[in-house]
Amino acid sequence: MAEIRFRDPVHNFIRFGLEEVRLINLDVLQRLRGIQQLAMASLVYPGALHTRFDHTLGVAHVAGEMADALGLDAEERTFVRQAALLHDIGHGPFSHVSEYALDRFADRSALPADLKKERIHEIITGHLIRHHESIIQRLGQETCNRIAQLLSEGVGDPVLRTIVSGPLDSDKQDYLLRDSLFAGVNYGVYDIHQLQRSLVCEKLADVKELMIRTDGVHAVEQFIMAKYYLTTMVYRHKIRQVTDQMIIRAIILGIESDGIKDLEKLYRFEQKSKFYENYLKWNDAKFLDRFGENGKKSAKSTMLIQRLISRSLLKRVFYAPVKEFDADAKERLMSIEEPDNQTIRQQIETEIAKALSAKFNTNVEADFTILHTYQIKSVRESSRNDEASILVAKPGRMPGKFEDESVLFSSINERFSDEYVEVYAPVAWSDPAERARHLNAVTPIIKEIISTHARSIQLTMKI
Amino acid sequence: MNPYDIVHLTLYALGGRIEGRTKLQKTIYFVGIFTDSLSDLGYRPHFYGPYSDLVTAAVARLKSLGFLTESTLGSGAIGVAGFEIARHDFQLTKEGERIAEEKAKQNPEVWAKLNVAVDRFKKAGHIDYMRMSVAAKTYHMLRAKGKPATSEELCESARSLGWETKPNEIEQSISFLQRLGLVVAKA
Repeated sequence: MAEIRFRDPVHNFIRFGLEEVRLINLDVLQRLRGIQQLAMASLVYPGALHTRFDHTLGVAHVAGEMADALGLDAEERTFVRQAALLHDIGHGPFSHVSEYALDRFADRSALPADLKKERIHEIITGHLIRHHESIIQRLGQETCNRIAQLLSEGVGDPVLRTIVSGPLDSDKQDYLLRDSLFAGVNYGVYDIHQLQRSLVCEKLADVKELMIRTDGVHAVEQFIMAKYYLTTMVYRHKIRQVTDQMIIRAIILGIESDGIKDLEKLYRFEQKSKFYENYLKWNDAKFLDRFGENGKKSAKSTMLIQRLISRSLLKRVFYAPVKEFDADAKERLMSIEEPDNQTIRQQIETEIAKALSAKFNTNVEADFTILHTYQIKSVRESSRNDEASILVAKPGRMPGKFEDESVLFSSINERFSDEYVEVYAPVAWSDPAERARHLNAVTPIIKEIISTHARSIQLTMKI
Repeated sequence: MNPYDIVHLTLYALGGRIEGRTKLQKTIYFVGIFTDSLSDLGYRPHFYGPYSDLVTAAVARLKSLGFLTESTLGSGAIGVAGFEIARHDFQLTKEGERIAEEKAKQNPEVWAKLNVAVDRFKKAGHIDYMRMSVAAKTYHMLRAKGKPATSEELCESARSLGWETKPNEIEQSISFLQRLGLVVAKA
């Protein structure tokens, strides 16, 4: 069968059939060349300029390798590679940053009941696969529907589903190696070939499930450690956090304070064709140009984006694990970014800005002072995800959970998952000594401001 | 309600202590049924019975924040029947209890609903974690079938799920499920 070979920096030669190349050549996929995989991580890791497009090709390749390792038939292999090629088409500018903005500005009351709890970018992905004319022309409506079900709704053959979305899926197998390579770090390296060689389909509840054989346990240990290290060292790097939060704050200010219509059209989701048509026109470069270089004059969102372009970043002025706060504060802190708590968050940011203004002897803009919380799962918890645990097949016996079968992981204390609070602000220091002096002075003040206000957050629950 | 709050308040309603990971998982499973929050809790038909990674993550978070302690007794090995040999006991700390109390006060309706569920569970009487596990499996299978079934039929279903469950174990679990008001036994 005729095929095209691409030279891929991670997997070397990767092959695509002509039908797949026709799918890859569609505008809706080519658009992913304009969306960087790690948003603005290149401001700290200069090599991290790879795109969703490169990753998409890699995921399709890995999905095919997994299908081969599991002995799936040609039809299943083709289908799972098509699904992999389409899995990221719903990404907006700066990838995951757009996901947050879309969720924040969506009017969920306008969504049908079955979509109310869905993440908006997943609704967009599902819609594009089901309704984008060029994709339907290539794959046919029925295949498009099946792919959308597999990716967005988790419906379909469990093994195929696990290849595209599961604890060992092709997405993670590719992005760990790719992000590691392009960021120039070695944290994401693991033995992908041994991992794939150990994959096996076993019957569970009369249905096939993807598991690993015992000879794959060490490769999976490496894979999970890679995920953990890459999370702590790249995805949660402080500069990466700052740049992501600056883009998010720029979007919020642009829509809520500056009244920028194009930003609102991009991020206020509507299930209408005009929303999708507009959404597909955007990528990272257009976003930076339209809302930064050529943004609305004197708008705060424009100023923030211009700071990103010139790498005049906000500084991290506070950092602490949530567990260092008192019980009342730590229980509540992780909900500080929820919409119901926006007033309290703004109060905290305003007070911190005032305190910083006094200490740094400058006017610190409250809107550019950002309180942010995030979690890093413990390495043991990283072996699971929302979909399922990894199962280890044991001939003639019940499968075991990976975290119990691995000697390394069974000895790791689960307790050490952590949640962190950080504050970023537009301040400057001339050298590390001045930085240390300033931060030593403001840290207890900021901690007290956060604690005092966090205690007033309601512990609201719904059942 | 999120799994974290359900686990936290259920432990508080149980007096702050529960013995064994399996018992914790299955207790939350039944509380999820009574409070109609099973879908939020993310239970799946795992080999060891209905199991939720989200509940495990909630326990990890409670421990990480210093609201829950876990002590381990035994070797930490898994027996051939798939049940834990080591026992992991969980205890809310003073801080964990105080925050749970405050959460309960701020959400009286949710607390009342959870308390009713836990009370119903307590009134059904004490059973060990192995029997509770079989009861959870039995109930899971009956729910999936959506129609009455004999213990032999349930054994057959259990086998297809990879569960080794004997008819007498299922019968014992049925009486527990009856006491919970979840099933009706017919001759």
